[in-house]
Amino acid sequence: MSSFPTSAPSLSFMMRLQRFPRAVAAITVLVLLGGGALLIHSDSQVKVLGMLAAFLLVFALADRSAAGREIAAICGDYSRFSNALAMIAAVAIAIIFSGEHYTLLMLSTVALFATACIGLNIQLAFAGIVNFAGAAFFVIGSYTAGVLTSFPGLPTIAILAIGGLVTGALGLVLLLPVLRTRGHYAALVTMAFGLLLRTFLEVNDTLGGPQGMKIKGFSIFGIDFSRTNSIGPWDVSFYFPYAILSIVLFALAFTFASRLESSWIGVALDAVRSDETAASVFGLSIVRWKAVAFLLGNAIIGVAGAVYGMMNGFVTPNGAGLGESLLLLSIVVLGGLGNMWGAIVAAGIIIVLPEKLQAIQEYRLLIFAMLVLCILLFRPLGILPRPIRDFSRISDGREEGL
Amino acid sequence: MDLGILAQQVFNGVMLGVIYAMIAVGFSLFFGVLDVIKFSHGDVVTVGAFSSLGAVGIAGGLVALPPLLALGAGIAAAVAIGGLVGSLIGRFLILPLRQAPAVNLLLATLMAGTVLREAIRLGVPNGGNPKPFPALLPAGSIRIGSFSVGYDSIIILCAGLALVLATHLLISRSRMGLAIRAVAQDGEVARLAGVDFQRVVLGTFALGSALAAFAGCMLGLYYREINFNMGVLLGVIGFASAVVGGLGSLLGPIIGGFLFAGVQTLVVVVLPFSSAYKDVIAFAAVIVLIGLFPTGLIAERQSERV
Amino acid sequence: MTANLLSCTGLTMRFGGLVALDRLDFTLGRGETVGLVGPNGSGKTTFFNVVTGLYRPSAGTVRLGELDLFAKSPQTIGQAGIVRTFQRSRLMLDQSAFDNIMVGRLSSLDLSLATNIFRRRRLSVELEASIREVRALAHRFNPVIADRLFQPAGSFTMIDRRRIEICRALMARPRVLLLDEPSAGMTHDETRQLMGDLLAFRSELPELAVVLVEHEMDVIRRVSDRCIVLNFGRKIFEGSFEALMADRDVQTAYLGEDA
Repeated sequence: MSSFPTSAPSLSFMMRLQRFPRAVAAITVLVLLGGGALLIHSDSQVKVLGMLAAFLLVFALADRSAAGREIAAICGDYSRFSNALAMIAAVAIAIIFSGEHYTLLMLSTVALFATACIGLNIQLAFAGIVNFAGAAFFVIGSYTAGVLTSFPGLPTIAILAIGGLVTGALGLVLLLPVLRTRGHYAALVTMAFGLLLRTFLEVNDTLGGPQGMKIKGFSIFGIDFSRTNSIGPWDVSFYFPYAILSIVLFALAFTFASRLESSWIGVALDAVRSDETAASVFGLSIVRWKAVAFLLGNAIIGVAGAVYGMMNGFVTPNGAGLGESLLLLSIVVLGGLGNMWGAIVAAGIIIVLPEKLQAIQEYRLLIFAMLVLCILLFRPLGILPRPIRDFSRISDGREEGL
Repeated sequence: MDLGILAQQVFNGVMLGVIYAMIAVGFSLFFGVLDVIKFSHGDVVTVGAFSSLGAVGIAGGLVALPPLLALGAGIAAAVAIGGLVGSLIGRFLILPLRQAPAVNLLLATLMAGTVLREAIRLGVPNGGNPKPFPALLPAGSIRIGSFSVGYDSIIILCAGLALVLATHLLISRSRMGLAIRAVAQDGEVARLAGVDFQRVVLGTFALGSALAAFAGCMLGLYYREINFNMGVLLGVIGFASAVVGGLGSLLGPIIGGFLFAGVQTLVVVVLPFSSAYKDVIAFAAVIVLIGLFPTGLIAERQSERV
Repeated sequence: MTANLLSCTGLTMRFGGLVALDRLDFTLGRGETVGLVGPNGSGKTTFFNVVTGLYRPSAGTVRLGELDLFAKSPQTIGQAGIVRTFQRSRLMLDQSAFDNIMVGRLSSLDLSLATNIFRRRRLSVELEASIREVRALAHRFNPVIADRLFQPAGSFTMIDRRRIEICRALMARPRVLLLDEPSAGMTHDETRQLMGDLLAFRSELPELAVVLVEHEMDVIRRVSDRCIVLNFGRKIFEGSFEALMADRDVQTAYLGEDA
């Protein structure tokens, strides 16, 4: 039990909570996801603001009340169950809105950006590498998909894999010279790279110049996602298969990153991030582990970018700029450094809200920047702080971990 | 290539070099005293440019001023407001976040820069579009063959060089400069020796920011046009110059600034058809240089105690 | 004493014009505990940094048994069996005590992606074994650490954090252990407890050679077999503790010419 309530009525409520942990977890997951879906789907600004207020209330309660903390602890204890249920619920939501272009596009975008942010989390939260070129690597993934899809006969899964590999390798080439130096050099090199890439793509016409290039859709078993209008007797938006794909991709990245974190590699990365001197004295190669983290992170970003490009059908150099990279970093910091669920929540807030609240369109960048500033000043751990690694839970064989 | 055009490009390059150097010096100073990279610095240039435009406009609207006085008002406004903004950001954003992980501070200053930029875009009437900057310096130009340069350009260049020199003298000869150097070397010890840490730090922020704001003025006078976005690229270039030259030193960022401008000019002169690539090549050069000299040309001091 | 385990000859460390270590000869035998003392700035921590590869020595030799460790990387030296603790605490305060202690063992574990991501059951078995081993080790120092093994390291008292650091070092199965002022910042009581810890694991690990840097002479007296005094990077005394206390050069070094 995480806390001992003192009043009798609360005591029995807590005990009732603990008697049905799976039910508690299930209800929590469904409420949160359902609320998120409604938020994405609402079309009136009043509704959106209302949902936002509701969410804030829920989070505040979760933080401050004993019952809230208990529910959070239960979800954590049964994380395998909760995560699986969340994925099923997400798919269900996609099915429910299967005909709605805009909602599904939002859903997919949030999922894909959150996936890219998982990659950034591996680099930043686990290994401490500051990457100011997240958007550039995302766009590289899209461009790679664009180039490769013009070769007929290349299976799409292979395209995704190659996209990830190319992005990872390119990132490594960039980072290797600065791995031995302090953080701001990596920041500079990645910043310079982002600017360099964007300017180059705009000026040079080989990859389409400022108009960008077209990308064919994702296709598997002969089904081209971008041309899918119906599944069986039901009419669906062509965004529907992409939504499913995005959810699956996020789930895969989530699983990968979670396993990475709760493994010996996770401890090694934390050691290298916290104190390079101590880590090297105990035999850990700083260069190797930072390189591994950077490579893995970029590969994930690249794959997400490839799918995003396929979904939209095109890519332009515009998305590779510093502003976009900052957006991704802000999602990571806002959501909570090292917390995968935080990435989805923050991605939802940062991507969906500006679209929904038309009244503030002009001011959205300003509000966004001030929001991030407030988080950094007053709640630097983010909305969902990273939970402490507890190996005793994995070895116990509880329904913990993945 | 025509010698006159060549000379024009070189002059342009030198001007840019001075501007980059002025911005880079700020980055180096802030890093020296607090070990922080203040990414809002580029946008302080914009603040300076718009402040001077505003002051000139207001002053000119109230009373018919001779252009030089208007210029004086503009510069004073830029320097004052720029310096104030810089030290406010230092006081309320950077000092509180000093102990936080590095990325938090980097992100925070970047966001602060965005706030400045957006405030200007939204606050200034028709701020989203480029605004013309009045010609306040004496007209007329010198002609040497096919090379002609305006008196105003020469004045701007000299002013910039003078200011960089003045900053160098201030840091190396004055008591304030001594305090800054003491804090840069070891903040703890400086505090013990009686230096008012906070005042020196905020003073350094004000100094660096004032310099950047002045650069904004210079840009307005030289290009006769300013826009709310002007600080973004300048900030990155200034940062890059400071890092390549050597953070924490005074000479390093100056060298870095001229180096960056030099590469840009070289591209424009040598490959006139691909002058659009000047930024690409310059940034590529930065990446290569950092790879070769990971701690800058004038190496950063290693201050960690084992 | 058996054959020398660690031997340094003519070890010199120059920082520009400053000579931090001046042609230092140092030997350490199996199972020995050598106390290294000297005024502040005499080169004790520099010596540790050089031996563990954090500084690149300017001249001299460093050998561990037959292995030449001169100017090798900290990783190589660590894996060869020379391990240290630090003057200022270098723990990951946000991570659990278990994680911190395991850092000492990580480089000998299977750190492949395959095992850590995909063969989770095997990882789970390894984890269980490690948890048992770490718990037993921590318990010998303080049962509280063993009980709260998965609490963040920052939540422990300072002396327990020192113990966690020592456990981390012991997990590396070192042949030579360098302890850098383990009692720094501790009260008398805590220092006594620490001494008890040191004596206990000395007797459990008779083959382990230890170099102990300390300012607390009581600890040196009780724990070390032999003492070495450094001053301005040079060895000015080597011998028993009693001889050290009587030596004039040592007194001059610490107390000045008029002592």
